[in-house]
Amino acid sequence: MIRFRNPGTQYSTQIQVIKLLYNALHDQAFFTLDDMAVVIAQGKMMTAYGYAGDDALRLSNTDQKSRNSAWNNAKMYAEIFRMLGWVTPYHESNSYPMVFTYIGTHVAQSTGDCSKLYEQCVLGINSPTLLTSRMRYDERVRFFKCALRTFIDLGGVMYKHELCLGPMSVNDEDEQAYQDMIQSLKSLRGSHRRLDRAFNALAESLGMKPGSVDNCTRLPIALMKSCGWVEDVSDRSLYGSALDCLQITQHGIETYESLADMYDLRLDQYLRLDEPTQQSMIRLGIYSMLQRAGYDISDVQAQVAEDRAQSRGIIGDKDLLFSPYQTIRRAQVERALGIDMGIGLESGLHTETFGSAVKDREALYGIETWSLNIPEAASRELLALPEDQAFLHQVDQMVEGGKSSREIVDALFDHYIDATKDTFYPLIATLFKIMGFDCRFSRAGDNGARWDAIIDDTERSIPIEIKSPTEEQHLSIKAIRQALENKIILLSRRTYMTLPEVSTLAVGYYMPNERAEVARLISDIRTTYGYRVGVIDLKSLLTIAVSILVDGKGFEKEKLYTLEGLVNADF
Amino acid sequence: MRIFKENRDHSRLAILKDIPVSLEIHQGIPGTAHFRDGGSDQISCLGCTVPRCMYLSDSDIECSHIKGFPCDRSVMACPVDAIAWNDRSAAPVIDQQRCIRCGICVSRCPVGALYFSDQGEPEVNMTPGDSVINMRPDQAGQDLHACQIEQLLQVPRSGISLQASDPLFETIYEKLQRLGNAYHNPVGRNLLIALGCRCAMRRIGDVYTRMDAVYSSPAGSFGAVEIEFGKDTLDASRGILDDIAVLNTRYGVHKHNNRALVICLQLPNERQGYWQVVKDIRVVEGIKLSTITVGALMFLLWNGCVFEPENDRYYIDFDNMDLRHIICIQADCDSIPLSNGELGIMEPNK
Repeated sequence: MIRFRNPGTQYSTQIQVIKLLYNALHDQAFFTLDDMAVVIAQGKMMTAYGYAGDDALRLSNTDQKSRNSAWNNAKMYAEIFRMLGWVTPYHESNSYPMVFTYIGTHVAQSTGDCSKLYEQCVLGINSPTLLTSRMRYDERVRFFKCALRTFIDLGGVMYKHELCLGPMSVNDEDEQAYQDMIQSLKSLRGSHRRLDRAFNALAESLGMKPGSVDNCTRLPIALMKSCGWVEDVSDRSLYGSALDCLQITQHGIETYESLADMYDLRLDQYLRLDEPTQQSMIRLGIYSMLQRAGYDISDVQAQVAEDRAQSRGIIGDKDLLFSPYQTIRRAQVERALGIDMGIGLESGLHTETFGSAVKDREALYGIETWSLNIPEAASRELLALPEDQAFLHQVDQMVEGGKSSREIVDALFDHYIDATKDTFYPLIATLFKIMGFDCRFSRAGDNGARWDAIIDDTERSIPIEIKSPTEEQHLSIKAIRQALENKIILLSRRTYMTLPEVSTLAVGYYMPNERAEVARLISDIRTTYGYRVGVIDLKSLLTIAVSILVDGKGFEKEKLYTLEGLVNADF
Repeated sequence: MRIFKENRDHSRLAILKDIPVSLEIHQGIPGTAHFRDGGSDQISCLGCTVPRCMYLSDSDIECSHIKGFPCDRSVMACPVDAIAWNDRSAAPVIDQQRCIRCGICVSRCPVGALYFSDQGEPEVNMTPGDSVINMRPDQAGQDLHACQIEQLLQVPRSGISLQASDPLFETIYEKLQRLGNAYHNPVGRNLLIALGCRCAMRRIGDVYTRMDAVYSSPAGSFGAVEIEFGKDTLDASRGILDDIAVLNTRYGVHKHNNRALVICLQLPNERQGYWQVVKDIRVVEGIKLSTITVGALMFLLWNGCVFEPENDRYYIDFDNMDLRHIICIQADCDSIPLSNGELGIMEPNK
């Protein structure tokens, strides 16, 4: 099966980036990933940790290049641009550095949206090529042409996994193989279980997880949508239940009909041609792509006529479907066109020249650790609810069972991994009560209270935003935003008394994944509004509560009222 | 190396014999240009080399207040890709199925050759009038054409390009509700630009730039924009607070100089928390969030208005959820021909 990578960018962004790169780098003989990374970042087409330009480069500049996000971002664009035939390797043997292609130059210099040329480039994707000798698949297919044909032959609607089982896994030069593929897909229809079985078997045969195989459909679907060939449709006719499927559009049908009339030249056949015919095919391929894309090629009509005469024995009067830059090496293409794209200045940009600010970035999300060394007993008078008693009983049982405090925390932490908000909110309230805070959780359906729990205090109440692990395991930016909103609501409506300088909390199962972003937002909130947002995870709360219950040791409670940023606690 | 030109560059090119003194826009007929000598004409499509109906300018999509904002560079004027260039007619062509009737292309045509038909569909006037002459599309012709376009943009326009009605908005909203996520921000951005603002929109996939857009109004107001097509408008008010903080610390825009804006498809229902939270933000922070619907923006555009949030004009909250009154005053009309609560465009639906 063809393994389409998932570069995750969309059409309009791709066009913007190639134009940016071309403007900055077309004077160079070739360009590296470093050149690309610097140009993309300085052109504000990437951001890192909320910063653009040179700051983004500094924040991305890690010791290991493979972890440098600016460089990886450039690599991602390089891959998709190479697939579309806009850039190509400078050397015969190495993937990098690269040069712009003749087609890429036209895309970059287009004054319009160049959607037609983009469509031609998508149609140019085929395999095998001289550029893809190390691929892990051996399908011989012009995928998008084959996919459009498959849509039509299957009645116009397909489920994405059918793409994997069908046009991504067929040799479309073999008509019988194509027809067998169609019959095979038809035989799956009507039973979702049958489709799943076939899809899982395909994944197994490829040595891939089903999710990874599924991911391979993202790029082709995005490209087909960008070209306007398919659109989303909900369909229950194919497999009995409603599925998010794809439906071919009228433009998709017309595109295939025009392709069906063309002479589709593939690598094997090209290689068997004599050199003059190869050169004619290259020129005809390039010029006909541009002509179909709406370019005026009247200046080369004489050459085109000559090349048509040279190749008439093979393609007759048909239009040629052949994208040289997506099939063969640039030296052959440029020889045929009489150009040399690899002439110019030396490559000069390096990501390393932007001093690393990674340590500054990492310093932002340092987590404060609270020591548990203050003698303290559980505030049992606050623990009156059945949920509170159940928790205490749970801990008592584990203590009696001989478990250590750390083992109890680990066991409880694992126990609550699947907790819904109905279990999790009361649990958080119980834990704060054990610490001596009068904490109340909001019952489900109580829309009046925007916070999920609140520490009720005569003048320093603390609203708590809680995310149960079934809502999100790792706290996110969203929880921080809600904690800020809780603070503003509390100050406005005065349902409980509080002061602006008292913290507002976000509590979740795990600390945020995106710690730098969360820490930065907390800092932004303090600077802008003056409010403190504190973040605590379940393990820390369990640690404090169990420490108090089992070891009689707690933390300096005053710290909670002024907590800002991420905090944990350890025995 | 020979670089071929796109056929569009070889289009016919029309220029005006004289620059009109005013332009009258009405639904059902092409724009009428009035000239100094008392004559008038319905000017046909000029075949612009860089058609304003299709492309925004680079300055439109940047926001002068924060130059370093990492914005999407797409300059397509149509937010839903419904307009394309027809090489044969050398004029724009509209895909009526995709078109959402926003009126952006219509408002940007410098001569009113793009107009709404009686059925409310954008159409291109291709009938040549007496006031234009065709030129060779050479450099001299293109320079003269570009110069005339600049002059035409200064010509005062009057009239209403599309008459609002319940059935019209029902058609529009049916299309808007079917739009994929990728189109939401362009709808908001391009409407603001058509209404006289500059607006820079976050690039799709940029997870670090959290606001959907930033804008600056014709009178110089600046603000963050959250664009919310879904039901959960509370996300938008939370997002705006985040945006204000980020713009303060990273770009030096003080929270009280940020006239933040929430653009929603429909106003939240009366009982939704959004209204109270907007009020809370004003009470505690002194920040007045503007709230406006996509439909209200379209109405302003059809009526030849600009988007100008001076004096917190578009501030509505729990105590006053009525956008109709505000839009009515701005559009200088006695009433808006839209039923009370219709699609939550001018006031909450429920």
